[in-house]
Amino acid sequence: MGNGIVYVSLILTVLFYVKLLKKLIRSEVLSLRIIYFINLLPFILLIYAFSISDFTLLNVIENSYIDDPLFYKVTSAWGSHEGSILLWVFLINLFGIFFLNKNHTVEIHKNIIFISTLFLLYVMISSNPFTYIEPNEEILGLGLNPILQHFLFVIHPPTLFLGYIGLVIPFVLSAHMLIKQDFSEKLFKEMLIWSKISWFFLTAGIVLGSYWAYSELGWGGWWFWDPVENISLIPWLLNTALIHSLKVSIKSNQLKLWSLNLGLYCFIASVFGTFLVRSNLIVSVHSFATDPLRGLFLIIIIGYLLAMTVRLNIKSISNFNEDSFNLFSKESFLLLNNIFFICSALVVFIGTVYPLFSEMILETSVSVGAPYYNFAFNLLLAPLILFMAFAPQISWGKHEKKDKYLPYILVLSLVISLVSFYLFENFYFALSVFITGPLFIKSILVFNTNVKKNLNFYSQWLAHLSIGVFIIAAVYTEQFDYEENLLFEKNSSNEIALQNDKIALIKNIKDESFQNYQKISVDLLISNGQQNRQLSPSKNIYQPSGQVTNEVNTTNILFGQYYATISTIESDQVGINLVYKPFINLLWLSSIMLIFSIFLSIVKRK
Amino acid sequence: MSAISFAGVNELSDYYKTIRCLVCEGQSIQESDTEFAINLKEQIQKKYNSGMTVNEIDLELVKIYGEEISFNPQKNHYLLWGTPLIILFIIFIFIRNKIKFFKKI
Repeated sequence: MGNGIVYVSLILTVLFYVKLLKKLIRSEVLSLRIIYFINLLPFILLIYAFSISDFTLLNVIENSYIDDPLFYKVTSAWGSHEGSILLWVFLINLFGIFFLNKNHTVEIHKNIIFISTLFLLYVMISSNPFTYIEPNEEILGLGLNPILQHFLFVIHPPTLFLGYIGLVIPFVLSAHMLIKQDFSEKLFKEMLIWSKISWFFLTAGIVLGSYWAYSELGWGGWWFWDPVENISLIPWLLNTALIHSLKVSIKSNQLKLWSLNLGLYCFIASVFGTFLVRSNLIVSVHSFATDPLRGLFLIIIIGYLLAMTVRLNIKSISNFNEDSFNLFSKESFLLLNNIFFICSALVVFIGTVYPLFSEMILETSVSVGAPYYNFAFNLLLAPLILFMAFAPQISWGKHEKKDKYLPYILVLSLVISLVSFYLFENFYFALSVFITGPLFIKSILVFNTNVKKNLNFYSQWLAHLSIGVFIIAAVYTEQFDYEENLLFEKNSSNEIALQNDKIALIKNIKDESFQNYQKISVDLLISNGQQNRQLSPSKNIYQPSGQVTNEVNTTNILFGQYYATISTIESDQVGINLVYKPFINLLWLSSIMLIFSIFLSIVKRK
Repeated sequence: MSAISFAGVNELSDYYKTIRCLVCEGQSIQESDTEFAINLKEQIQKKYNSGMTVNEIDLELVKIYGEEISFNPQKNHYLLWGTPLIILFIIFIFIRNKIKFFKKI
């Protein structure tokens, strides 16, 4: 059935291209709508097959279990490689449908359908989820990987995918503008809205993924510089650059070719990300089973997109005048922003593929992790954040007015930073105070100026401010977190004194059974004499695989959080890993502020 | 009964985060419950308690397991470590040239 629909869709697409469909259906828009709609069906069918546990499909057997709750059965549909590529196709077409309501240009939609067809072919050739298997009463399914059985996992991949695929619209719009040599403001504005929509989902997806890793993987970290996290960061950085450069293209009619290229590369970066994960070239927690054909096919798609980009550039480069603007203008600061963001994306890219390069050329295998990225990002982001404090209030064209407060602000933030160094004795925290200081001061001072305070202003103000809050929260949390391994033994005291003069004590140990897992939990109290806080970390043993997961339990103290997992549990001893993260909740709050800020600027336009 | 607490608990747990668990996929030994990770952590702890510094332990681990063991690549990967510096330098030159250019006109 699923296969059948894929074939119907392929046939219709071919017919559409050779203009035969026109004879059947008059309106091209209607036939576009039909093709989009049919392309949605395979994924819906797959979800249906998972929800009824249709064990005639190999994919369903491999990824779900008869006793899983319905909620996780549905989730399993995108837990596998095949399902996630089909979700990719589904979302491209979903975006197509929404885009069709705004823009009826058939050529653009042809490109969207072409890209969707490429991925559909990919599904058919190397990752078909509809492989049929003789029905067998005894099959109960192998089950979804238990660490994926989490509410956040249900929304994290689709959200991130919406972000990746949202970039297809800026991509086809850029391609269209370059092909037709039509650089009207209207199209640039359209591109800005869609890249903001994608940015919204990308940010939300990355934050959800980070939160999922924090609350599920059980070691108290929230960002690991894992290759899969990195490759979601590359489109995010490029998309951020795109949003800023589009402003220049719209407002002052410059940086047009620059923006269009960014639009093209954003989508290529997200396809490249998928390629890197799916092909298993780079080892990561997210890896799926490897298959060289899958990798090859995605290389072909990326190669094609890149070749097209280069060709379009060569074709149209003569139609652009060289950009020129004043040094002290908003344009030049936005260009600077772009350079920093693109360079950061480049650094992440190099760090991610370097192990591959090293293994092939230097024949030594290396691992590139947090120490490298921290070094590179400190270098590149520190100046960016400093510029971010002042750039928003610089005027377009030529900036005449000198900011008489500038030296005072810098001195003030240096003083605050030195004071915080004296108080906390931590270099990195003091540095982060210094680079975010001007941003906070400016964010307050701006209300004293006569800058127009419309929704646009507030969304930008909030976005920049939340980046500042994020940096402070992240640096403080990472520099001042602490961790203890508590080991409680039978027949001895159930109390342990903590480093911060509090006391941890074990109340009781429970053993419960649920639908598809068994749960062993420990109730732990943290007490300072008067107040008690309870933590109940647990270990879950899942059926049918017998896989054990560590369930984290947390308790909040304003912005800080105690974070507990069971490290060992035996008949005579219980080990608890206790982490204290001082500002972690502020970090999540600032992320929500950031997502909300872009939401404001999208809503504004409607 | 007391917690396993000793001097430098945070220094070591930060260090564990830079050591790759070779039998897991992309995790550090701090984050892993595999036998490999647990053994390695015990070994490192012993060495640390016997007075070795984290840097010395790191050199020894790289000698035994190869460079792959550390998430912190050796500094002789010039291309890797140099790129961010070169990029920053180019940005600096770019800005300086722009300023010169505008001063001329």
